[in-house]
Amino acid sequence: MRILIAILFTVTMILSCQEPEVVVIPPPVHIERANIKLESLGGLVIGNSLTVTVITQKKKSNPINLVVSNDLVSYAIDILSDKRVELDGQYFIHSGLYTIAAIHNDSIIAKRSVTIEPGPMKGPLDVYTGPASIVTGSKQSSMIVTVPSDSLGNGFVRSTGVVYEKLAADQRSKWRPVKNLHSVFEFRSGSVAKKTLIGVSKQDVLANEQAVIETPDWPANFSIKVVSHHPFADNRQYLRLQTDKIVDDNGNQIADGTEVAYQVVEDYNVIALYKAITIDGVANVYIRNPSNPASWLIRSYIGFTSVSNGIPIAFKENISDLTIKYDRFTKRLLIGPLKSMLGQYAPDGTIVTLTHNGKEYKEETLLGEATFDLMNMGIEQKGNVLINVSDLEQEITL
Amino acid sequence: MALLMHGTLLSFTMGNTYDAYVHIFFGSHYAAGWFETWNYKWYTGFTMTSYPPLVHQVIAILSKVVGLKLAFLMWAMVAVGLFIRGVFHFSQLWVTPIAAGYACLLATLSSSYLEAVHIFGQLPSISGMALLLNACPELYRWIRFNRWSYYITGVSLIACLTAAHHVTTIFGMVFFIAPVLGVAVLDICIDERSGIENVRVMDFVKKVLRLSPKAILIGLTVITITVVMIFPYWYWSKTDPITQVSIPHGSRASFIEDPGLGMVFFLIPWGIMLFFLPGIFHKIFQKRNLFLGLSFALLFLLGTGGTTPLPKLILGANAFNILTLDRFTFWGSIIALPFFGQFMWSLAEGRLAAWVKWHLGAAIHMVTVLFIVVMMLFVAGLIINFSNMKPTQPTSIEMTPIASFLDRDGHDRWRFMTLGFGDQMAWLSANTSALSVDGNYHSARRLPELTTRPVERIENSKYLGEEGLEALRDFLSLPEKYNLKYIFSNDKFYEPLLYFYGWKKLKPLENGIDLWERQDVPPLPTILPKKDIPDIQRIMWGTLPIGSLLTAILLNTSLWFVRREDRKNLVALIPTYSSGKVARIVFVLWFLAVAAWVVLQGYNIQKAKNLHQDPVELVHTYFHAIDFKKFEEAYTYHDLSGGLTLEQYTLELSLEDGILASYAKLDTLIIKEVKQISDNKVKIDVKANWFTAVQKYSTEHTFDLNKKDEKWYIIKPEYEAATPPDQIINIPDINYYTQGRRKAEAGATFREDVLDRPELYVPAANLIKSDSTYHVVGIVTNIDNDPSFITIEAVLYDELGNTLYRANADEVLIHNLLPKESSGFRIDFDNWSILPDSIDREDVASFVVFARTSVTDEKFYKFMGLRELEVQDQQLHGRLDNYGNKEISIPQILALQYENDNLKWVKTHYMDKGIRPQREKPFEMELKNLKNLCLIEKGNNKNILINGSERQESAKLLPRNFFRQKNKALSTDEGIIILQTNGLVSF
Repeated sequence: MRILIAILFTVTMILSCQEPEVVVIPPPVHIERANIKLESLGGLVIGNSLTVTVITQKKKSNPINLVVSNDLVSYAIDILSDKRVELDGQYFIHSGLYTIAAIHNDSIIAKRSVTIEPGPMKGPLDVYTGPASIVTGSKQSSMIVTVPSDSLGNGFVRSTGVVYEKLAADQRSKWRPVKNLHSVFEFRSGSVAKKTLIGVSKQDVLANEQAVIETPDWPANFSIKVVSHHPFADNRQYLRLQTDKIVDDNGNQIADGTEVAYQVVEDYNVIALYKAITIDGVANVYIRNPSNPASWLIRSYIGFTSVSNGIPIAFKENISDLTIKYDRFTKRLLIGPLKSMLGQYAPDGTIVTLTHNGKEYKEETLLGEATFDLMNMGIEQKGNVLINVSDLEQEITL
Repeated sequence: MALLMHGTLLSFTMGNTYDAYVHIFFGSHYAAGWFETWNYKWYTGFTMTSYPPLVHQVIAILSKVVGLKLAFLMWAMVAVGLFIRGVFHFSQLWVTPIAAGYACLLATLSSSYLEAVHIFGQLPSISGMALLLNACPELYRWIRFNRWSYYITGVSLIACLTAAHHVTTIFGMVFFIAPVLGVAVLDICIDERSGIENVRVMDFVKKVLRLSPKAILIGLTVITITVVMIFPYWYWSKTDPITQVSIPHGSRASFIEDPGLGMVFFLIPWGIMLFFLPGIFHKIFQKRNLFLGLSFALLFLLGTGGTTPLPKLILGANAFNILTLDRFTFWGSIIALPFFGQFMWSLAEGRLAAWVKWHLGAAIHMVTVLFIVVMMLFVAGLIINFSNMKPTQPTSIEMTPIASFLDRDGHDRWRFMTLGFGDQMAWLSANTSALSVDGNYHSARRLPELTTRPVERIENSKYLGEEGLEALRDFLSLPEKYNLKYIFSNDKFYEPLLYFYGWKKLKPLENGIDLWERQDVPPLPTILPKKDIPDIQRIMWGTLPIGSLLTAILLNTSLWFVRREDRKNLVALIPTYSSGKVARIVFVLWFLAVAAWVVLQGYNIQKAKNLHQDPVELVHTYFHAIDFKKFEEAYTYHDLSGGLTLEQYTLELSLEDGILASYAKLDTLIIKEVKQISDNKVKIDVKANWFTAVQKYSTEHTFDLNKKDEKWYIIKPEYEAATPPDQIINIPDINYYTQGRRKAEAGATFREDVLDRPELYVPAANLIKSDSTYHVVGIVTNIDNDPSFITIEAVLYDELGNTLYRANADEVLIHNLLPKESSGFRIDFDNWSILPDSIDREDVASFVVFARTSVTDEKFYKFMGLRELEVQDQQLHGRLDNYGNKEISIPQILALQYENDNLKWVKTHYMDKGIRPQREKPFEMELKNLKNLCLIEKGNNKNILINGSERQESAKLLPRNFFRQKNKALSTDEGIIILQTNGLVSF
């Protein structure tokens, strides 16, 4: 049995060792050609119907599959050879190149391209404007892009141009062609800050009004002046400073709300920083008077660039004399009444400082007087104390 | 009685409960889409399979007819009815039917049940308890009388229970069902041995072994039901495990250290039962009831929370930190009901009644019973009015204006957030289709800003301390991350934070809620991410729970009619409850001890009201009154002999605006020194620590106190004497207005109505390392002629260009800049914990700054100045002067610190007091020590992008001398400091 199996196995192996079978490739099938005839009543324009006839050499019994396609859509309908078929305008709502192919028995027997043109331009024109604000002085430009289209939204590859009209000293209207579906109008800013209106149109097809704001450039250097000044170190009062009308290099008034910074320098040190904003090109600032006599230099800045002149301002001592009384019974130190230079009480809230053993205590004046309750403050009722108001000081022994 | 009482009350209390609106919100989800398991409305979406759905699905069905709120009420009534029935039948396993009836009356007034329903609003939990109590007797009868129909009804109820509240199933097996099965087996032994005294342990053990197949069967049945009924829940738990850090809960606190929490989570739930606790323990620990006794004891212990270390040891740290332990007290108090009922029956008409009448007289007996009943009603009244006495929710908010705003004009294309709404935020979500970045169900959330912090939700972040505010700041500073654009605020506390983080306050809505908007936030993408589950699970989730309810109703009602006569024979073997003399003495002593403690607490409360006895106590109470804006009360603490009137006092307070006066909460108060000046005069130095939404403050105060007629009074300090110079101020100002859509048309904005982005320039942006934290500091200038809203974002990259960390400049930036105005900014990369573990801060190699702008019509106020500036020992001193005509509520100062012409740090400081027109206030600001800072990299044209373009594009608009102009600023030894000012002004 085993021998039989071995023999059978051997024979099978021998028989399987054969030459590979030769496969014959059939010759190509002859494809019969045909022609596609096109007729159009209204012209090759979107929305118009197109009559198609596929003319074959031999009449076909099977229907021919007619495929109408472009990059966006593809339609297929069955037609008979040599029969006129009207393709409705809805097949051609997109402008551009269409391919019409006739397919029979899985072979393309005819193929034809046709370009469908867009319809008449329709308003309103699609217009893009930007940037909507540009800085004067030819630093920036703005651009208007128009994309004309027909009633079905098809663009124009090329067309007669679009007219741009704006009010400017140097030009009235400009014409720009439509290329690659759009038209471009670019213009640089002028030297005058204003609102520029632009109209866009092509014959009877119009667009909405376009506007570009030409804004002032960076402020030029400017000047400041004193409007009101109380020349004493009365820190209840304000010094008022005002700029002149701040303009840019082209004379345009700068934008309202522009921040103006003021720097107060005393003995080469910056001691105060104030802010203001411009209204109609002018900024007003109120800087509080110092508490002590001082000589200031005030300068103003806009951003890191524009700078004003420097104004020196002086403040004299406001307190005329320093009166101190000590009530040993109630352990209270009464300072004042403090008189100001015009004979009036020193302003309420004037700070009086008492220094004892290196520690400072502060009180505010009311009706020119300030009181220190030494017992309440835990100060021993002996030794020296120093009283200081503004630039005046006096030491007393308790 | 229960239906009448709870039904009437719940319609009033529902809106003030913690959880009612959450469950209503869940119900609204199912009403909108029954089989939809993903809910987009909270966080960035969460799965509804994270909570057993039965109660919510019932609400959804009922809401189709009666609306959401009434649907909640209706189901709550069903739950109450089932609960009372459950108490009655459960009690009959342990006490006589009459005592069970008493238990039902007590259940109606049960303080723990009242708390669960009218304060917590935990409808699924109370539904679960009701179903469990009804299931227990069924399973008892199945074991004891071998009636398989009871197995079917018991299992059907457990199926419902699992679908309603699976936690009750899991723990209920241990604490309820196991003791009930145990006592059923014991009763079989008692039957066979004709009395419990004849039953030995071995008898019980043998019986248990013989009945073990049944035990295994019920165990397997419950496990199968628990798994299958809510299989999507388990699937979600396994595939998307919770990563949330433990959120503190009051039930885990030590009730001795925090008596307030002890009251809410221990005293209130136990209520009147506390007086009778030994008696209840004594009854529960009768031989027959031993299993239930063990269960009760364990529940009692676990309910004590962190008062002892035992609950944590028993549960394990993980479970202890995840579970809320009030549920154990709740279950314990329910278990105690039958025995409390037994006691009350005995007192009213049983053995105890006879004893009292015999020894003390009928009148005393009646008084005693009446007293207890009145006390129960009193406690019930207190609990129901708890939210009026100690409000746990803000006053009710009308949601219609908010929902209308969100649903129109495409506002729902962005996410929103609420602040100060309490649990009403869930009700808002139920009434709008807009999405919120916050939510009220923290088990399901996955946002790292929330899961890495122990905060419940953002909307009450002020109550959660610094962690809560940090979480809120994460969302406010980077709103683009979650497309967050609108915030509805019901709490002025957050106003400074919102303003200084660049949010704009719009006109308030008709309901008085403030609306805040953030500019320049992209809308939500059209397609939002969603975690889907297999369709089979969706079908299970939508059919099994509701199917279990219908099945349970069908089985229980039909079989009830069939078994009505049968039930009379299937009664439990109730022991005779009696107490020995010693036990009675213990009970009486305990009662008196608790009563004495209550009286003592009352005395302490009364004593605390008599504040003028102690000057230190008076100062504490004064600050407490100021903190809670109780100004009339604070006025009474002053020495009025000098003629101080209430009108004068409140006038001076009202003039004192500022972040501390209007937007702060008192954190701690430290009495630094008490100086006795004389017998009747004391000076107290106090340090008060406040926290606000933007930063913490410490203020120092010195109080002079006088003693008159044995009472101490505060001497009011003199109000500031300085007055402004001018009676009328005239300052020219500017107003901007952006039209938005000029045509009244709904839909997208026309491109003609979109304004250009203003031009911006970033002169400097540097990457700084401080210890191990990275920062980007810089300066930005609005070089346009329009006012601009600025957003500055910085991104850190590793060497391969992979993004490590994105962050925005938040409060350290003046977000709204006028033309030609500059601001420093600082971006801190200090919360690496919210990033994936794979990201390592050591990999930081480079950075990029993205700045973008949009036109704003924000109201500006720049009429201020800094003067008397001086730098001493790293401290900047000066005064801020308001020379304009508006009050600056919160002045802000930015200090840009340079070292060797390199900007190294930008610091912000908020003054603690507001400044009225033509007034000034001093400030002191600590500067940063620049020596500890390392400049890693300076920004250049390549890594600074402005409105999407490289920086040099903006530089084309700059004048030639822009870079030549030196910064004029304060000079210090280290370098120069540029100062800028800003402020929150009420217009």
